[in-house]
Amino acid sequence: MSTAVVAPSEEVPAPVRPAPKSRAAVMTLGLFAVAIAVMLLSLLSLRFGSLEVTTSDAWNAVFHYSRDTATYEETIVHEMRIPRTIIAFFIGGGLAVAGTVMQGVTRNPLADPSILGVSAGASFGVTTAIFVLGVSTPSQFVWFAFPGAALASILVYGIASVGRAGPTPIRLALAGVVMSSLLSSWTSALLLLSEQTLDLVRFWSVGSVAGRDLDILWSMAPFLIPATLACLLMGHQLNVLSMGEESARALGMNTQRVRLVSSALVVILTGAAVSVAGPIGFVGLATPHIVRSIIGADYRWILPYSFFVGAALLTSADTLGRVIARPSEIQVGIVMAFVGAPFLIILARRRTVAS
Amino acid sequence: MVQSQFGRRRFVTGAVGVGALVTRGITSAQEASPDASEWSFTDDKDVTITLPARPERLVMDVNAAAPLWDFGIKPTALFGWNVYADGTLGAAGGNIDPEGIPTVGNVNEPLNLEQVIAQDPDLIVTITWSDDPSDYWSIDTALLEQTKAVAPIAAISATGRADVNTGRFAELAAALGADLESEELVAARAEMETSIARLQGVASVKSDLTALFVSAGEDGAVIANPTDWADLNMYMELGVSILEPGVESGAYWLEISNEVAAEYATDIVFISARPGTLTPEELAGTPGWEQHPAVAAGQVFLWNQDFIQSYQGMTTAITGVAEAVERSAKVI
Amino acid sequence: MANLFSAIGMDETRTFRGSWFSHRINLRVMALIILCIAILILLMLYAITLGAVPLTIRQVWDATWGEGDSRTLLVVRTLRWPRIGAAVVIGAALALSGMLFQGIARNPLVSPDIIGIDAGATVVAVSWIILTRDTSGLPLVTFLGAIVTAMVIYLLSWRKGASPNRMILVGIGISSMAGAVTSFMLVKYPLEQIRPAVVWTMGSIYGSTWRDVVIPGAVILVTLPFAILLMQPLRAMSLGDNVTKSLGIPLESTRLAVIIIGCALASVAVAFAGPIGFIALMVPHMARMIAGPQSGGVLVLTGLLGGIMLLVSDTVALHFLPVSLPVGVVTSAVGAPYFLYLLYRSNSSM
Repeated sequence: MSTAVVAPSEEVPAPVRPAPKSRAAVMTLGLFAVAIAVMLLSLLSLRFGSLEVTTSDAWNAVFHYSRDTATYEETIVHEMRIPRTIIAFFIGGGLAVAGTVMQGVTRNPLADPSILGVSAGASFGVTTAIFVLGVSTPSQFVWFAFPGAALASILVYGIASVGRAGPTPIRLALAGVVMSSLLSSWTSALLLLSEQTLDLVRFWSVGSVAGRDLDILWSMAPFLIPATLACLLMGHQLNVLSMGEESARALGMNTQRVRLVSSALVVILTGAAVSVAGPIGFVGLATPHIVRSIIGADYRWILPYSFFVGAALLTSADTLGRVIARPSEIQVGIVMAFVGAPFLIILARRRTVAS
Repeated sequence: MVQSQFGRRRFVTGAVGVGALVTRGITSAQEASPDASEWSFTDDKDVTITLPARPERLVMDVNAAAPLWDFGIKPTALFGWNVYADGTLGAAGGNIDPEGIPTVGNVNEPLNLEQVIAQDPDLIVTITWSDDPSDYWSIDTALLEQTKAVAPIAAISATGRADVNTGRFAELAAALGADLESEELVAARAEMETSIARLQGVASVKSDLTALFVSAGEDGAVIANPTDWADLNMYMELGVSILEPGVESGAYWLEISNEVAAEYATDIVFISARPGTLTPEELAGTPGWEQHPAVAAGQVFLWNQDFIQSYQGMTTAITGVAEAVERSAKVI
Repeated sequence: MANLFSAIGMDETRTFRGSWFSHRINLRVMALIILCIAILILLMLYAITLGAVPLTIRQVWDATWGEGDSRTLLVVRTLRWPRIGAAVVIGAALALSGMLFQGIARNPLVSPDIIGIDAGATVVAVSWIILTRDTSGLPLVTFLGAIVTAMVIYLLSWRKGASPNRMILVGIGISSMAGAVTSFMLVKYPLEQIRPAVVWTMGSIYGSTWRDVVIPGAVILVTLPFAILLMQPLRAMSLGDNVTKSLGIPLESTRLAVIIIGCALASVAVAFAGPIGFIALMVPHMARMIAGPQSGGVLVLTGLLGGIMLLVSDTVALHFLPVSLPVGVVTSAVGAPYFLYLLYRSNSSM
């Protein structure tokens, strides 16, 4: 008999044995190496962009910046590239960690925060705010994008998770697509009603870290940073969950509670990220796979590595988007879709995922 | 490197030149409505519309209705992309009071032909953005022939030069029965001519000032290609020097990153007044623009992209630019 | 499979097995088809009388056959009938494509519009509208865009055969990429240029001409006989690949044939009406619910129900809402909650 749904993937690793001390040392060293690599990529992000600057401009902008004597190039690096690099770092890291937790908890290799309908949810929140409450200051939109995105992801995740089968790849993907379609149709209906909304809302359809004030990041930081830290601490729970529901229960874990807490964390992280940078997909999808393929299956290590690799991925994608369309830019959300969608397709072609 | 240049007409025709265009409008309008019962008008697509009598029931696109409203010609019904589902018209509606005017199309379905038929129109009026014979704003090409079968379509250009287009709207309004010699319109025209003279005057005095027309968002901006915009063409004609961003004609914009904003240095920046774009205050706080000479000097002014091609609309738009030039100094 | 059907409210397990190899035309299905044809005709006759120009039924009738003044003829023959006709044929095409796709995917929760064909068509259409402003060539380019997208999804899903689940996931990947390009186009260009494109993306059938009726209608007429012939092997396939092979049914070529027909139908619908969601998803469920498991008769019934659904939605969108909305907004508002309900039900019963 065939079922319409895909059984949870068997790709998830076997129980993790306590790692020997030397392994821990290697992993810690590796983590430092990755962190340094991210720093270097961040420096590249400061160095390259639509405006041609020299390495010394970038250096001065970071280490010897003085508002009064700065050249144009130094100011641009200081005021535009530093904020967006910091935002890309935290959003990339946060989304990657969220994706890792989601994949670990759902044991679904295709789980990614972006398929939760967050983008449509954020647009819906913003449109409703503009239309119903008359909000028109972009800095206030973040407070409507966040609940919109969170609501959409709770609904998608909830509907797809009901029942023992849980959120399988197909279920989650379909629920996300359909929720997006529903919310966008409502958004569309509102768009047709007035002149104010269309221009404001189309802005929310593409993820970007350009021109975002660091203030927006700080206003979301009370959600973003604790949720990221809490996710990073979930390594042990994810390791236990990866042995399967029954084994986890046998080991005395309250699996329901772990699922609930981790889902809440993912929703908060994703909602906060989309409020700052708009919808950015595939960071959460690709990063855990990259990390797992390199360092193995221990979530206590996967999580911190994912943070840095995700940060690196988004920072690089943003830098790339700035240099390929001079004098204009391509938004990081679009670059990530082009980098990430093939990744999804490659994953989908794996026997374990789709058959 | 920025491959831009400044555009300004070599032969500034002077107040007389621009005024003459408008005057020509009046004379030909008088020719167009002779005492004979037949009515005829040649539109900007060079289509001569001939009707047995002067059309009374006029179904108009909002962009055409707004200037005609200022000339005293009221629409029987409105349609077009600028009618919102709640019946509001947006900035393109100008002075129109939509109360009591039925709509026969909106942003969802710009022209509902059956609703047009129900209004029993004598003439349909809209604008056009190109020479393409099938390009009528808000009218679906697939239904163009059927629409023409309901009533002839008169289209006035939205490109070229705004003052010429205004003259054409005046001609059409006169043909439709507006009295251009009414006290109100004579005064409005005089005000427009005053504003033209004012802009020309200040532009010739401050002939070294340069201007940039832009629509900016927090993650990027677009610079207007002045030859693609009717109002900007007119300002260049009146002596304002506008930065041409070096894109091909018909591209309307050059897209840029805010990082390079200051490379498009000018003395004055005009920023789109459309909702959802940066305001002058926000622009002054946006890195990249902050360092633009005009922005740094506080010489940022609003650009109403939805200007109305009537005497009143022109007066507002031209006066705005004239004031901006008056209040600005050479900063580059 | 059976538990899935019961999950979505069709406790048809008995019928399912009992009529498994039956070639007879089910009398109940036949009766339902006749009923649906009657309902469809009545609805069309009702819809034709609605509109801004007040006309009596008598005038409409005469004008339909070519009698009346030119104004009435224009309203009835050039405006009302094509729009009603387009709603019916496009609704039918969508529903048929959904039935075929759900058949091969063995998953009642998919349809060609959901898995990427509409997203591919949308990116082509939006680019075309923004860059050329031409609406007469639009259906052809959109159709090509949809077909190319379908081919790409199929080829990328190919790995010793095209697994339906792989197609869904690949399709969603393609959708994301296409969606990114669409968003890029909509953000990049100024309001004047994108507005018609934005409205197109909502799915609408305004401004229909006879061309919009004749071409989708012709595609249905050509493909329907093949689709009916394919229903028998498709039913066998729902028992699993091994059963199918043991019955001597060529698995891959059947699948390919179904995909080609399904994509042609979905593509022609999106080409002429834009991405109208959820008809393809919902209507096959309704058909199976009232008429039992898939068969040639149920397929015909699905087409009729699709026509009815879109005609009703468009009539409501045009005449019975306080503000007129694109029909796609109406179908999504009704269809998406229904889908999520189905998903919820199929989950909880497992």
